[in-house]
Amino acid sequence: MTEEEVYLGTKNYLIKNNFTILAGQPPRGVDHIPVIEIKENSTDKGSKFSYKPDLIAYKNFSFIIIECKPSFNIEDYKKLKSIINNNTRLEKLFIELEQYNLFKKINYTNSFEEFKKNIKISLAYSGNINTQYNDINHICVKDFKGVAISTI
Amino acid sequence: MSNLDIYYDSLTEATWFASLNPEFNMDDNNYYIINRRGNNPQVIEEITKYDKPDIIVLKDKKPILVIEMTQEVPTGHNVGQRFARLVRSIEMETPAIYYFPFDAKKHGKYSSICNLNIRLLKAAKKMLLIHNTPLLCVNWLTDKNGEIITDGTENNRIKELLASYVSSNYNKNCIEFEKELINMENEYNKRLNIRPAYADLPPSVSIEQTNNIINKFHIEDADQFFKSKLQTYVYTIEMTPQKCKRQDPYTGTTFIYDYIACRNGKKVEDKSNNLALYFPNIEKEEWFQRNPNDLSTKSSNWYLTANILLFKNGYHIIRS
Repeated sequence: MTEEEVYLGTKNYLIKNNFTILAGQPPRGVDHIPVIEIKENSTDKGSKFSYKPDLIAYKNFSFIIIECKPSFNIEDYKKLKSIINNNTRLEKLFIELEQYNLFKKINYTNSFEEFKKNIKISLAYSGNINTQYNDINHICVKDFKGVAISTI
Repeated sequence: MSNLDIYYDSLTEATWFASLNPEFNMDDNNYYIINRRGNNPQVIEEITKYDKPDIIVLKDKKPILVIEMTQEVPTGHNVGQRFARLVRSIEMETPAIYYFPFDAKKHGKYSSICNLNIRLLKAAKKMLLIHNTPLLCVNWLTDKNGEIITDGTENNRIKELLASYVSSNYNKNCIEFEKELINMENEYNKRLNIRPAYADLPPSVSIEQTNNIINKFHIEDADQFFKSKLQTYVYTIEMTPQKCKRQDPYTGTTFIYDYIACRNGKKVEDKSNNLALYFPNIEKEEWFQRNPNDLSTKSSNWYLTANILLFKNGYHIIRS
């Protein structure tokens, strides 16, 4: 599968499973969701350490940041792990979601402290679940229409 | 059963397009990705000659619709970004829909609301007069905070347009297309009242007497085709030599100024005024090294419509 197919398949899978898609950026073209950026130190967009998640979804007071690739990607794994363990970046994410009024969209009023306790990360890819990495969630996409298996 | 051929640049956009009207569903139609230049059916090569749009719809192997979509506002000097791909569609008498927010928040350090540069609407109107084919600029609605709406309702207008087009058997004069053209006219007038300066071209475009240009740049081989037009519109592009290997947004913006100020017919040669692109910081030799007129690359877009290129140390006549 292509990265685009994995992206669409992941998105459709999440929607089918009652997640709200908050933000994201497809590998090509434009989607009908906001593109948000998790910055590190600078407030400028496009800064060296800024990062635009492929997808951010929400369900039952939990948020999930997802990276999509055709196959399991170790660099994405490291990237997501660095974000989930970085208080500053999580705070930047929280601020971005607030500034885009995305919390209002889902009626989320919890504090940052609550937010960071309920944030997960996931890789999305085609193929079989890579069971070596069980400290992260996996979404294994079968087609772009949303057939998938996952650990989320 | 539709059996259209629909070419797309992005699968995400293709699935969005398919959702806008049952006639475009993915089961009854043929969806193909637009390949790199030289690797598409001839009709697609023709319509993507200037640049690739997001969606191209063919019926009986002939283009009937082009769509371009963006979350960005065509504001200020970025108004020309993506424009060339729409121009090509209209030149081929294929209606185009350009779907973007007219006003939206720009995020970042200098967060603010960006507004549409209405010269885009003026150029679209002129293109309609010349090619008798509409370029519809459709507003991607935003909320009171300037954020694009993404709950599905943002597609309502474009669905109406497409439903009208489909039910009229793809008549480019269908009711909703005609209404949208009126909307565009009203939008132009409303925004012009707010910013009257946009009635004119920006400071980067000057009007010169053609004879003065000939003398200033020592254009010894200027022919009657060039001299016969008494005025030359000069679009000054202050790129540096280090950053001159690019096209966007300039080549698209060139078409906007061309249609507003110079074009009076369907062919690029049909001009009442000359159009010159002036690069005051770049020498001619460096320019051609970085931006050759190579039809297999986008740098050829620099040569699509202007009459002449003017440099720090010379000139190059494009069409005579």
